Amino acid sequence: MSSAAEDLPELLLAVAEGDRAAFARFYQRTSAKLFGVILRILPERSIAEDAMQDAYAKIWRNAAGFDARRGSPITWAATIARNAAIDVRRREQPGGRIRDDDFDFDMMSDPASGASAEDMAALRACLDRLDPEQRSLILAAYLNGESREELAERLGHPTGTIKSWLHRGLAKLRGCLDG
Amino acid sequence: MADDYDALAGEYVLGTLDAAEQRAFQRRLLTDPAVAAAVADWQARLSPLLHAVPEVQAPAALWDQVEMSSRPANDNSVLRRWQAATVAAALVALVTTGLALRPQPAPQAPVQVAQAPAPSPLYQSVAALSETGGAPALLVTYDDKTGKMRVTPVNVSPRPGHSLELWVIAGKAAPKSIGLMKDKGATALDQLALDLKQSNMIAVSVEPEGGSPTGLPTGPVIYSGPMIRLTTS
Repeated sequence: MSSAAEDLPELLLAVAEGDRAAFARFYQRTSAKLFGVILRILPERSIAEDAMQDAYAKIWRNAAGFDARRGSPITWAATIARNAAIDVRRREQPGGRIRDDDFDFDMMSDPASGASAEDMAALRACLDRLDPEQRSLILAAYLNGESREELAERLGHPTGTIKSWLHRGLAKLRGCLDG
Repeated sequence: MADDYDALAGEYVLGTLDAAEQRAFQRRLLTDPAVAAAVADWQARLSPLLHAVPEVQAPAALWDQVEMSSRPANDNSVLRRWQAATVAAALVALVTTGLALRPQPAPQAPVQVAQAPAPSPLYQSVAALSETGGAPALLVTYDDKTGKMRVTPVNVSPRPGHSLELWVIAGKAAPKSIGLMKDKGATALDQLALDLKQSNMIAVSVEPEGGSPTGLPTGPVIYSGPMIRLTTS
């Protein structure tokens, strides 16, 4: 497959110039990752498919905004997908279904998945150092798209408590990662 | 450094701010480069998590629908939904795409009024537009008596196949399009009535050729800066 040899940054550059064939190849290379990200936030498949369309419409329009010095294309695209899914989740299902499966930390050591191994290892080590409640709040919000209200309801605490736990967890995470 | 806006930036990236907090934060985000940088840092800190999410094969038929959205047709459900989207949603798009994944920015070059061109009969307001934390890329001059604005590129990277669109954000209002930049050289706009009694941000976004189809920025905001009123003698 010649497409495997093609760099994602090069593909995105071509997408930015309006190259539809490059867009198709970019989709082939990234759609399984983006669908995985979106499905965690929107478990309903038909809604997840709508969010996929939103995400790729943004990728098509905004490819010129991608800057290779600032990160990998897959991270850029996955971040767009996550935000598109959260937009839909907040808009269309404020009550939202909740996934309570555990997050598989071992996936974070998968070197083929696109992030730099050091970044993944550092984030994993720092998450491990958080209090378990703080860690699970951060993961539930980031990966499952749960709102503060959803977290409060699920855990049976006032939203103010959730907020202060999140703030403490984020501050500790930042201190660990930046320190 | 870890003052209140950093916690808000982290929560903004997590998506746990409530609707009112999020709207208020988005306004700060558009007007304060330090806040935008804090958001970009949180994106960078947390985004490795996305790589750990298992892949799921998308249904084969989905590509056809995705492909539709890359066609420059007006009758397009995704675009229509965009047209109906709220200002807040449009701003989220700016943040998620334009500002995502920036590394630590260099300290911002302050826009120094003292270095601005001296007041002249031709204009009373200036703005230096820059990337977040970057050196000025565009200079804007505006004369409120004649309503003429001139936008001069200083260091603008070309965006092939796209238009650069100029926006003004007056106070807390939604961004308002004031025109497209010319591909080369300075862009002159006239009949612009800016309300100089309130603060005005000028911003430049990357749009499909011909400009935003929605009346709001759809692409990343690549440059922005506040209008500064020169004291006229």
